[in-house]
Amino acid sequence: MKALKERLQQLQEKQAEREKDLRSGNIRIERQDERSADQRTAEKRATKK
Amino acid sequence: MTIVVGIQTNTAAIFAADSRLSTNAFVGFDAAGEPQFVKQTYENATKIVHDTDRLAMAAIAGSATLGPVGVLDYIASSAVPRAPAGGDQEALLKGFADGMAKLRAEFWRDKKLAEDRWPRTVVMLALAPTTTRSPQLWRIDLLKEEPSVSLIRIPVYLEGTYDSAMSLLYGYHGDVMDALAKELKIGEQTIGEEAIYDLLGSNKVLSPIDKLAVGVMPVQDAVELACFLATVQIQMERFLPGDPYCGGPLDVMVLKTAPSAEIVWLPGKLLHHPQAGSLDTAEGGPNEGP
Repeated sequence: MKALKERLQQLQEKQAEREKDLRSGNIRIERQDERSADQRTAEKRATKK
Repeated sequence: MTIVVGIQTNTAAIFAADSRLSTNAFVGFDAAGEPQFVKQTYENATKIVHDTDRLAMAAIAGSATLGPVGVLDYIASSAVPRAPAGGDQEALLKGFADGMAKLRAEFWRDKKLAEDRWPRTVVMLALAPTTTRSPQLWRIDLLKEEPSVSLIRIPVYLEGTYDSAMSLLYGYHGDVMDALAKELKIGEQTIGEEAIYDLLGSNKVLSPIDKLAVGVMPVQDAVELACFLATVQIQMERFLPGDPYCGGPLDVMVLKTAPSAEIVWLPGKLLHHPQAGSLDTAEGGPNEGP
């Protein structure tokens, strides 16, 4: 098992690849909107009911 | 330990660092031949410096000494090499790091300390390249005798102890994920750390760090972001059990790379007479005259 410290550093280094994948579309994300956090929470609550 | 936050925008690099110096002074060997260290903590260390050319700055985490000279003094009295067009910046920095590594190795060999016990030093280095108007951030790791040099490719980079600041940026706490990786099973098979961390790197939900627009962030905002993240780490350590690794005032240094290269030093503390505040107001103090 890798030490946590080493793992965290590795994660930071991998973030560069993730950023590249996000910007290039290799990782597809949900459409981003400008709803407030309150709106999103309210929608989630409504969905759960 | 330390919290160092490094931020790189399109035209500036920002370092913020705390001021706590936790030292393990080597005092000798016990009867079994084990090296003995004593712990001490101070609150006014400065962990960021610029080089003599004012075209590079460095922040350190970990051990501050190379033996006869401190890491920061070494850098502050050197000109960090910058590659001309077509040159190999990494190789130049490797040579620069080799100079520090040599002093460090001589010092610990002289103390007869095994290489795997040498205290680690990590240097974050920002420089204004000769070929572009954007800063470069590098990481020099002095762990074994041979130093390792790597380019930091992400706009917000943490060094030292940073678990709390990182959990805020990345949306999860490392040790919680480690535990999850050990416990989570498909049938009898544990999912394991590699799979969990691969998923974290490729999942479709954006973490805060994915959403930061650091490239175009104004310098003042970047300074405030760096200080915010460092403060999160310091305050979480303050409120959680155990001795805090980080603390004291935050110092900030900015390396602007456009329109021209310039260092801006924003210290969180200044050398002062320890009683200066009380002397100013005391009757018969220096402002009152004899």
